[in-house]
Amino acid sequence: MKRATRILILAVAFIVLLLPLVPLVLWSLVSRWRYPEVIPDLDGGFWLGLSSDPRILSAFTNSMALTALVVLASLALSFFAAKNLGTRSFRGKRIIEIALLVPTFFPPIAIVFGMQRVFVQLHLYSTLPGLFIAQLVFYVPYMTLLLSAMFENYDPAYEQQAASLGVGPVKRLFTVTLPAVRAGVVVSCIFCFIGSWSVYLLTNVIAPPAFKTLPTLLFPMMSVGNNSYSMVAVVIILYIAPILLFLTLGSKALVDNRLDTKKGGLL
Amino acid sequence: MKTRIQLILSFLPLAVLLAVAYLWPVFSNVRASFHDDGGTFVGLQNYSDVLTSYYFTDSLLFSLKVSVLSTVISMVLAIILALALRETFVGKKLAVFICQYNLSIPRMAAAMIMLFLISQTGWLSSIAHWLGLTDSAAQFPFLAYDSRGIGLMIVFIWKFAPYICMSVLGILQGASLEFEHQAATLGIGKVKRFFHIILPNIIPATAVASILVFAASFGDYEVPAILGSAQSRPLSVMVYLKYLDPHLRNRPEAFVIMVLMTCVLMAVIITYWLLVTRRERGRR
Repeated sequence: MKRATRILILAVAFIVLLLPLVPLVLWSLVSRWRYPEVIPDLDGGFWLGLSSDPRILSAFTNSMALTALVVLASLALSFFAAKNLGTRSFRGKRIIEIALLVPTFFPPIAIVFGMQRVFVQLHLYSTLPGLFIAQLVFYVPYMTLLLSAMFENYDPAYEQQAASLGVGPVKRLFTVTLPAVRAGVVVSCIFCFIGSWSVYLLTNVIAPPAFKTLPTLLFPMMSVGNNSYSMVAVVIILYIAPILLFLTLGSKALVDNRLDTKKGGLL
Repeated sequence: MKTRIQLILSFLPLAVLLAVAYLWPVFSNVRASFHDDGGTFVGLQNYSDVLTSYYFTDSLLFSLKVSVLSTVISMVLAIILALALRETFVGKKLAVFICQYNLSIPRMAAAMIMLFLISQTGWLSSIAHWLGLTDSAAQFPFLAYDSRGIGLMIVFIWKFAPYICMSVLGILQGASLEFEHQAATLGIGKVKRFFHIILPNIIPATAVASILVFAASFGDYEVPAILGSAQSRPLSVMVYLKYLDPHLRNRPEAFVIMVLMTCVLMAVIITYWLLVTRRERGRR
């Protein structure tokens, strides 16, 4: 490809990809913006009122706490399954792979109301443990997929050596296995964090109505007729900032891992 | 024997979770789709109600139109972008980062951000006015909340083209390049190289990524709920409306749509899995 063509294509792509961020940032900084002003008068917008609205802060901490718990629990519940899936071959492996793909790539709308009915029967509906379990249903399989792809490049021989030298199973896990797969685990946790952090529909249907996360707080704010989007813009920025932060921190590792579509990446 | 037990134990949490909180809900949906709102078995009555209803065909066609068009357009743009990104140049790392940062932006946020940009009183419309292209907001094309689904497609393409691009880029930077150099040395022209070397090399990866994009846009609820119009609603929004309809009589219809959507998506996931395993076998 000619250099000029490449620069043209990339320039157009960058503009299209980054342009939507401009009105987002502007909206967060102005309390009033009327059509057809191209650049409105910046007055700090809702950022100045943020501390006086406890709902946003509590939604942020709720989201953080829920997502952190979901990621850690998913890691714990999927680690050994993923290791077996990535390093061993056994009968029924293919079935397990399909079973993992379904919750990962199936849109929640096709299942969430069935879950609601079942959770009512189990007395989990509208409870925090119920919400936690509902999220695990999606993120344990996702984490298993991510980790198993990583374990395909892992050599279990080191563990066997350690075992033959008399190192016990718990010590082996923490001194041999985990250090060897640390980078992959971190990347998988970042992916899982982004997924769980974004969830709207599931939380909206299963969570107790008083428990708001950032997405369930944000969604109803965007109603037609709202004429100051400053608060909406601030909440959107709080919603995407942690994701972009994690993505930048793990960007090198992510670039290497994203390219394998079998893992699904982020959709 | 010991390792066998370890193997089964390691999959136990996963199996319990999926059986109780995934399979059971799916069966519960299927069961509910054959009963009326009072729990009486009505056979295929609900299905015939839905299939002959005034909204179902329109809704299904709208969902298919939006998801197929979004997927195809994303695919084409992704290949062009990947071709531009694959060679080494100064600032490539940053370029690749920009081309994938929005993959991770939640769809709900993407839809809202896009609304600030493309609505009739949005930023683009203000710029058009400033440039003298339009006199009033009403002259700016109706993109958000439009009944043709253009706003939805803009969001899906904005989010999903980079996703396909990253899958294609992985292939284009690898084996394909070598073959192309060989072909170029043999004097084979650009167009022929594209159709005979590049395209066959990237088709499998593109297909796999595109299937996931199709599934994601076909079943998405949040983007049409924010940017969609009341005249044309995709199936996902119909499910939500029918399920929460105060007329409980409409609820079985929601289950029928969920079951039908599940069937379509199941077929999609199985195709995906077949493609991936076939590609892996090819690699060995």
